[in-house]
Amino acid sequence: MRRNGRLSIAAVCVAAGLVGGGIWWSVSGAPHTAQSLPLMPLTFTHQDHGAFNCLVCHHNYTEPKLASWPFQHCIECHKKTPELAPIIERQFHQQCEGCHLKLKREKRASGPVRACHVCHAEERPPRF
Amino acid sequence: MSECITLAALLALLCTAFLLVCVFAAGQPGIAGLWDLAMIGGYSAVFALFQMFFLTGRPLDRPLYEGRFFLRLHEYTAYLILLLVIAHVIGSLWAEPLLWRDIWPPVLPVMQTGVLASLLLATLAVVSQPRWKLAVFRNARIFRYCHYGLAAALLCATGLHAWQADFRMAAPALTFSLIGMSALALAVPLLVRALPVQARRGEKRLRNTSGLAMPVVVTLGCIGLLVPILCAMWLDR
Ligand code: HEC
Ligand code: HEC
Ligand code: HEC
Ligand code: HEC
Repeated sequence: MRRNGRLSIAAVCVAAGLVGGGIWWSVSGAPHTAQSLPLMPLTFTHQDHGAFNCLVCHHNYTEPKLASWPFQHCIECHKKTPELAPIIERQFHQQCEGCHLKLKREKRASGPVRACHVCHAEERPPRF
Repeated sequence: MSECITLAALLALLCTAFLLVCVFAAGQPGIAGLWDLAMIGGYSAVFALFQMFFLTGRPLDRPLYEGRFFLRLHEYTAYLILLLVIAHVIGSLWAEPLLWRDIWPPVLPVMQTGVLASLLLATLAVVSQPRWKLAVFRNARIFRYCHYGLAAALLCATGLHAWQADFRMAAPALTFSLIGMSALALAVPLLVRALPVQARRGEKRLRNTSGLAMPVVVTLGCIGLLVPILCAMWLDR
């Protein structure tokens, strides 16, 4: 009985540890962590995307309230604005991969959908 | 032997049907060979998990094998899931090493549920060992409740993980079939307990049949690997 008691205490501790770790793991997406995280390298070229209107991506060009924001560069603004930093990955993946997937399903020329290494390769010099 | 084949055929049919629906009805394109293989392999694991809620280790009437056969079937299927999950994780990291960035904090929600599910699976695999389970849980009844609770949490985390990946499950019909199958799987062990026990017929359970659990699970494992390979080859042809 005593041995069982000790074992169940150990089991409870392990379970509590797992739950605590899980909670830490979840809340670690807090803005300060997200902001201090290094950016992923990005190989984005405007040549590949010449077929699209600039405003498809540069949404800030038509939103007057964003004109006065301190950061005007696309990724800089999303990375350095505290409320946008934690969701930069979700928003950009949604936009970039969403369009690629849509075109791929229509069997048209398209970019990577899940292949991280194609987008996040070492930076090429900008070619726009 | 014929009942054994029936059982294996049943498992195979269900597994294949589910995977085929997942892969083809969603109409999503292939990404890359190894990536698709690892991702569809994850569905094999989900499916094997569903099976464990139907074959809970309770002796069934058909095949009329000894109780140990069903326990072994349940236990070995769990090890199969463990192997499939390891293959799923290693395969996807092999295909895209940058995926580490999604697992490292801040963790994407889809990875949070994935990690949670693997932790639950590891916990279940340890505390349910026949040798240790009574040392961890006071008696068989408590074990049964905790085991069901953890398994239900595992199923929910896994289903959420598959849904959050938002790729092969992207179609609403597939999302609802996933929810429906999860609900069914969660209900079956409870329903079976609630049903009245059937009167025993004259037949006796066949003895020395527990060894047959291994071939059934190996068959299931082979299908669980073969179907993703075929699907990935078809998608990336
Ligand atoms: C597919 C989306 C997309 C389209 C379409 C697009 N851009 Fe961009 N643009 C980006 C991204 C992403 C960056 C940031 C690239 C980087 O930092 O490596 C960027 C950066 C730039 C920059 C550098 C400064 C800044 O604001 O970030 C300029 C200037 C620019 N784009 C102009 C244009 C013009 C002009 C067009 C239309 C002809 C255009 N872009 C179309 C996505 C796009
Ligand atoms: C000056 C700051 C700023 C710049 C520059 C900027 N954005 Fe944004 N972006 C925002 C803000 C603020 C939001 C949130 C707007 C909202 O929720 O309505 C946003 C939202 C988004 C979203 C999510 C939209 C949605 O509907 O969910 C995407 C995707 C996005 N931006 C992409 C880009 C891209 C790509 C660029 C550059 C090519 C860019 N942004 C440049 C500030 C900026
Ligand atoms: C509106 C649709 C659209 C959006 C949004 C979009 N892309 Fe693309 N992308 C394309 C198309 C179309 C191509 C294929 C161009 C070609 O091959 O002619 C492409 C190609 C690419 C390629 C080259 C792939 C290769 O094989 O070389 C990269 C990298 C890429 N996109 C990255 C991005 C990134 C990063 C973003 C988000 C900032 C983005 N794309 C957003 C449509 C889009
Ligand atoms: C279509 C191109 C594309 C693909 C494919 C893609 N990403 Fe991204 N990703 C982006 C863009 C654009 C950003 C935002 C800008 C940046 O971080 O460079 C981003 C951001 C991120 C971030 C957040 C970085 C930060 O600063 O917080 C992570 C992490 C990330 N991606 C991981 C991945 C992983 C893992 C994969 C593969 C499963 C992947 N990405 C595939 C385009 C892509």
